[in-house]
Amino acid sequence: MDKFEQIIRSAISSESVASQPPGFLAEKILIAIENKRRFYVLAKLIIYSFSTLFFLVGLILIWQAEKINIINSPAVNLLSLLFSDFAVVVSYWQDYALSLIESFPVVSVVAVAVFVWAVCASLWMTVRTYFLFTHRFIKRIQA
Amino acid sequence: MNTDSDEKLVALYLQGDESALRILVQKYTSGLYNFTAQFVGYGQNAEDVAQEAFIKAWKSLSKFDLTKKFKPWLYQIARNSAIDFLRQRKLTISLSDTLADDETKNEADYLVDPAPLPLAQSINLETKEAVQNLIKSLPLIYGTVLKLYYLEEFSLPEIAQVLGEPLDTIKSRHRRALLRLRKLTAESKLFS
Repeated sequence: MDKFEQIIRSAISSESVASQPPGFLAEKILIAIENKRRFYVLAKLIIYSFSTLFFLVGLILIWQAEKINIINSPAVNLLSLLFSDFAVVVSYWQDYALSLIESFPVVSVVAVAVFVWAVCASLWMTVRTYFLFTHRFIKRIQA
Repeated sequence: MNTDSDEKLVALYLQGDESALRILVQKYTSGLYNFTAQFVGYGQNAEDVAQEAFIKAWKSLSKFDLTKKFKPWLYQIARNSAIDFLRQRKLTISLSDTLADDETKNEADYLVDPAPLPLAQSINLETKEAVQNLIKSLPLIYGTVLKLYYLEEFSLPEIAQVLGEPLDTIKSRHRRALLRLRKLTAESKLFS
């Protein structure tokens, strides 16, 4: 760098020193980021809470609709054989398995399972978001 | 703290270290404020744009490529924020306006006697102020390149990244800015 460039650097540096931002700007930016973070966490919490509630209501309705199909299905009687006559089940396990599969109320069980999974997933996301935020918040206070 | 540690600070923040973000913000607030002020002017506008740039950067931190440099990435976001700010307020960006007729001139127009200027003398306050005024009289795009190069110590490829321009264009602007400044200083007999 030649002397001319050194002068330019020196002039630009001193101009920059003269035009410093207000001292509170960094703190203001950090507060703005914090507010934004709180807003996003709150939005996430609301969305996850509503989805948990939605899937929970769905699960109750699905269970009420499919409960009779599941309980009265022959598969339940076949399953009870496992506890009452295990030796027969072992002896004829191929026929037993085939009968169990044929009589299994697949649609009802899948429908209930999907809603159970959805409730668990959204509940997990709600709890995780809440604790992640409070954990970070506590860490910030301690810092 | 050197620039290399910025990426480590980002990594630390992503792992949950809140103090890393504080360090990054405190480190770059001043530079970013001065940079955005070139586009939107000093004062409240520059503060708002700097704040907006930091918020945008914070939102995108998880997508930041840790193998790349943080500072040019941050300044690139700041530039885009400044342009968005001007667009929202339907202000014209003087960058292109000032550039149009200026870049059509031949570089030879700015050529002056290549003999070294008598710069051995110490740089006093008046000289600095005079040079500052000359830099201010340059088209904005030249001033921006000079400030990024000499104040923020970006390399020319990094300036190209920040301003979203080809490297050759930035090299050319840097050269033209220096040539023009040399001409202006010679005309004003600043160092004679």
